[in-house]
Amino acid sequence: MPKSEQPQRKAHSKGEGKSLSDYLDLIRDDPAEFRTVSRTVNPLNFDVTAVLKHLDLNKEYPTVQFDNPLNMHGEPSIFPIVTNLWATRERCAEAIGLPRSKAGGELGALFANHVAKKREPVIVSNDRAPVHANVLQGKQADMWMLPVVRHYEMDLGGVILMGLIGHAPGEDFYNCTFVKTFPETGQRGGLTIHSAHMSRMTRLWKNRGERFPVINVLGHHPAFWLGTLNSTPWGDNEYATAGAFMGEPVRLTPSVTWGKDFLVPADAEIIIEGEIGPGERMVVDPFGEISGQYQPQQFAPVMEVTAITYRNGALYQDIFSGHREHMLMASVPREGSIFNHVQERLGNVVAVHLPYSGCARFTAYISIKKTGEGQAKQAAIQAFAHVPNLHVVVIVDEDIDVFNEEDVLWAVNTYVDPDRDIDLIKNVRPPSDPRGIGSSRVIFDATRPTHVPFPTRLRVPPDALARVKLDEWLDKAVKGKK
Amino acid sequence: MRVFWSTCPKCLKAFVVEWELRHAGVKLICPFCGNRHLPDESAELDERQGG
Ligand SMILES: [Zn+2]
Repeated sequence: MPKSEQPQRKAHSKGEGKSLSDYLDLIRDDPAEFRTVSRTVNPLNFDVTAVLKHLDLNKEYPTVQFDNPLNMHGEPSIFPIVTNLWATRERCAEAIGLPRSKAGGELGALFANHVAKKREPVIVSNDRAPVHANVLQGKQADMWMLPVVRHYEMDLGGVILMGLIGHAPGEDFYNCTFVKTFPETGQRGGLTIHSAHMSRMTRLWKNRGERFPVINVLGHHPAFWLGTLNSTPWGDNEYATAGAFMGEPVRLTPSVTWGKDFLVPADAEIIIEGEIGPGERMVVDPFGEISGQYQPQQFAPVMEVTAITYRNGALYQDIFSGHREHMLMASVPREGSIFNHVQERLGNVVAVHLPYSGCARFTAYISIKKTGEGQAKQAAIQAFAHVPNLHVVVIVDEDIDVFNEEDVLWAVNTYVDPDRDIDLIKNVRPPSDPRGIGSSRVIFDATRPTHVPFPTRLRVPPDALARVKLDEWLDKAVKGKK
Repeated sequence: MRVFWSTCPKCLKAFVVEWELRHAGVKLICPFCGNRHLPDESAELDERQGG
């Protein structure tokens, strides 16, 4: 169907839930935050990621909407692509209703507080669910109709990103995790699942010899995703967590395939309904991952598509994997979770940052109010205990800005005595990936030593800084003046 | 996680593979040209263990 034949999206009507488009309305008039590409792009030929990479190299991080992409058949797709949505901390803050000024150290903690506030979803009938405006089943339910993006040169092919939602057999709580779907054909694709809860659900269904019903949700309001990205205990209904982040209950509707036995988000853009066969596997990957390296080729479970539904004027959401958007999606909630965990136990944490240089996942910079030796290592051990895939923890004093990497590395260079302040914890768990450090963990105590006389950091007196206003004291710059 | 590199016998480009697939009896898929080949049919294999 040519795009001109796709029913147009109506303006947000009363009673509908928040959607991706509602969020884009907040940013679409600001070129620093939102850009469009009108020309025809072939997402399988790296046109999309080439645009994003250029922007990244320019240190520009707008959300980008590609209005005229080709689908996997090489035909004009009816769905525009929206990508790079979470590439700045400010947009992550804004998405959950916080001011942009709260995008620094407090953002993680505010995220963590949201997790505790559940908001139970509400159920609406199919005719009140925008995502059921268009329902495709059988051969018509074709993943190749989507403008699937191939991201990197060694990727096996186009990969559908975004969230997979499922529930355990006999349970009514839903879990959401980000997966990669490799559409081998329109009706069949390999799914790589990395989260503990979704892997457990896959195992439970497989052990019963039953097909595991899942949905791939391709596009929703960013608060929906940021809510489901938090790591919650087994048994938590992540639709309720997402509701807390949305500031309103998530509206659910019975699925096309399983009816009331599987509820799907009514205000999503596009949903693929499918089933994972017990024990069936296919070869997928490589894929350019969060670590900035390729996930090696591997076996993955197979999903068979049962239906595709989409709203009128639906947008296809993608993620610029291995870049800021991908990193922030997980690091912001995790910063808050580490902050809360260490703070509850030690009470001396000032800020936590998972820097881009550590893929926003493997390294934590933590500042503390230090009152005695040993406290830095205690904080680091608590952080490792809470987040098993952290590899490196650097602890600094409260006067070091953990969001300023130059500041953190200054502390490492001036305060760390390698013999005394670097601890290697060996064999924490079996090497699980080829990223170098593997099974070991490293602590850097980059706090100023207090047990021996030690120089202090230089500073211009704060009262002098407060007294001298730069714009009043500097002569007006005149070009060409000697 | 142990990995190896397989060089595609058709296009001679190399890609990275999990060790689980080395002797699984399934064909690898070249991400560059789509060719399917068994690991032993690779134009080149890098399966060094280091150490
Ligand atoms: Zn090849």
